[in-house]
Amino acid sequence: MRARRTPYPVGTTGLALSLLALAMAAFAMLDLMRARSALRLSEAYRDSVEARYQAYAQANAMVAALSSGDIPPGAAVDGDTISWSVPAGGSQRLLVSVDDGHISEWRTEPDGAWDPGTGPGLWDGVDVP
Amino acid sequence: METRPRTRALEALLYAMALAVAMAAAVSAFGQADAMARRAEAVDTATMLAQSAAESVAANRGDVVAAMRQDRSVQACHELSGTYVVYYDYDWTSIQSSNGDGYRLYVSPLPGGSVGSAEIAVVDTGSSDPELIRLTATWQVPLETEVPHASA
Repeated sequence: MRARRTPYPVGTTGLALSLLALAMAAFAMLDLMRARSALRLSEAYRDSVEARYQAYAQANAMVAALSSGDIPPGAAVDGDTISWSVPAGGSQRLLVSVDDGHISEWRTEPDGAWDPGTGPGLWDGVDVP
Repeated sequence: METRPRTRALEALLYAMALAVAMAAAVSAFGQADAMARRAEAVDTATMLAQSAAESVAANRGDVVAAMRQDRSVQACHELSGTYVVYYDYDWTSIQSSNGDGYRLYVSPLPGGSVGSAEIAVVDTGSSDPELIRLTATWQVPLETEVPHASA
């Protein structure tokens, strides 16, 4: 009885090697994508920190300039209180208030209103369908 | 019919070459991914270190030596023409002196005015893109004069 011959010289070893190469390529691509995403996230965080410290420096200079009578452009003046905001990178801003020569407010908040949306319309426990 | 064994040998050779190329590409991608992961980790740690140094220097009103002394993990802080340097190895362990490539934390107090400031940078001396983060720490000099009122 003659052994049956395949038209291509691919046996079990070749098939296993092909699968191994495919698996390695797939895992390598996944690993590369994961690492690239992690690096982008790290750099975005780094950039946000740099922008925040830049905003602190700008606001500190403005507070110091108040002593020489320089009111920051766009500042709201209410009696002894002077308030203004400085962009702090991305969608954030630094709010600063100086009240009678002392800093009474120094906080970062989102720039613009947050819209939570209406959601997917889950059952609220009240209306029984 | 005589050319069939030769054709099969050629096919096998091409097949082996394709496999080798695929494996080489995969190994290269793994290498790139590893380098990116290490860079991401370095950026994260450098950001944390720079923030910590900035807060400490600001809290000590620009006294870098006092700020570094408060950090128990810092082995030594060297001054090089007005810039303070802390050396780290590639495990982010503070070391006494420069021992080849590694990470460096630079703190450079800037000439003051009414606001104190210092530039803080963390670099990887062994990288082609050495700068990991650079930020400016500032701190308030207490206001002594009266703030202008609404009429100002």
